[in-house]
Amino acid sequence: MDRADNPYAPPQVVDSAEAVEGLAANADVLGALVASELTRARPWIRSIAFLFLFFGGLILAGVFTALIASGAALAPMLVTTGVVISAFALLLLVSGLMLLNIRRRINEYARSHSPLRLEKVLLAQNSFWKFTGVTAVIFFAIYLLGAAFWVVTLIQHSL
Amino acid sequence: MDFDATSDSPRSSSQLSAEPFASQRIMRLLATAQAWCYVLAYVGFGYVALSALRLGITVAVIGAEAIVSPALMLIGLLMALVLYGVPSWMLFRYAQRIGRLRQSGDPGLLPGVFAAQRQFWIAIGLALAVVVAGVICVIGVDVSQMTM
Repeated sequence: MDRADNPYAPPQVVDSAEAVEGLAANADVLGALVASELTRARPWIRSIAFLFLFFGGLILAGVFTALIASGAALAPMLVTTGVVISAFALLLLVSGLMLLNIRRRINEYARSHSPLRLEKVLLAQNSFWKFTGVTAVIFFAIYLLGAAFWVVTLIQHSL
Repeated sequence: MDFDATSDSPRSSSQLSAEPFASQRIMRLLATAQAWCYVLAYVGFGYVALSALRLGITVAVIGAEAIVSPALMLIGLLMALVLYGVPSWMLFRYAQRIGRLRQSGDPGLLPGVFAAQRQFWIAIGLALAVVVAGVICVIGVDVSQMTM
């Protein structure tokens, strides 16, 4: 007799990914398993968000303090550096706020386990992926240009 | 939706009950996430590769003995691996799991997808902890030099 058809078979221990996948095919169990994974990620997301916000705020405060301290004698170079660093700080602040939004959406999903709430979590995450993706591509292009310039300079110096 | 659920096999009935979690909208959102995560992962791998290439070119052009601090360059490469390589690999795995879920359409794979995402957040958290520790060390060294 097949094990699945035997009513006297002992209960099986769920210790393999396949067994969990089989279990998870039920909507309630699936909702709870997804919520468990998301809520276990939540403290990490919160910590990362607070670090981004803390460092973003710290950098902005530092730039403003330096600009105010230098007074009327603002060199154009100093202003340009200040603007670039402030833009970087703003990127950190926006990323931090997006992460806090993801955390809020996870909280809402963890309370209801509803697929509609899961969609909201994914929407919030996708905003974060897009924002960091575009930022990463821009930074990588700048890094690539810098690296090319560095290689040319290195070769010129070695000749 | 498949209304022809006459089969009494446990798989088909359970898949139907979990169907809201594999709705077209969720799959579309996951597809968008997958594309961006691949972009982010490849940028991270690219950054690690460029760091290694930079070390290689430096050694090839000016010679290993001429580098002022080879140890510092190696540490830089290791840092790039830890800070960019590991989180990028985790993100790559997350994107791969989304791909597997989209191919099979089995909502049972969804917890595994989010488990991979959790591992990415842990990797980013640990990488940031390394950065913060480094910043604190640099500030500590600066302050101790100023007070001496």
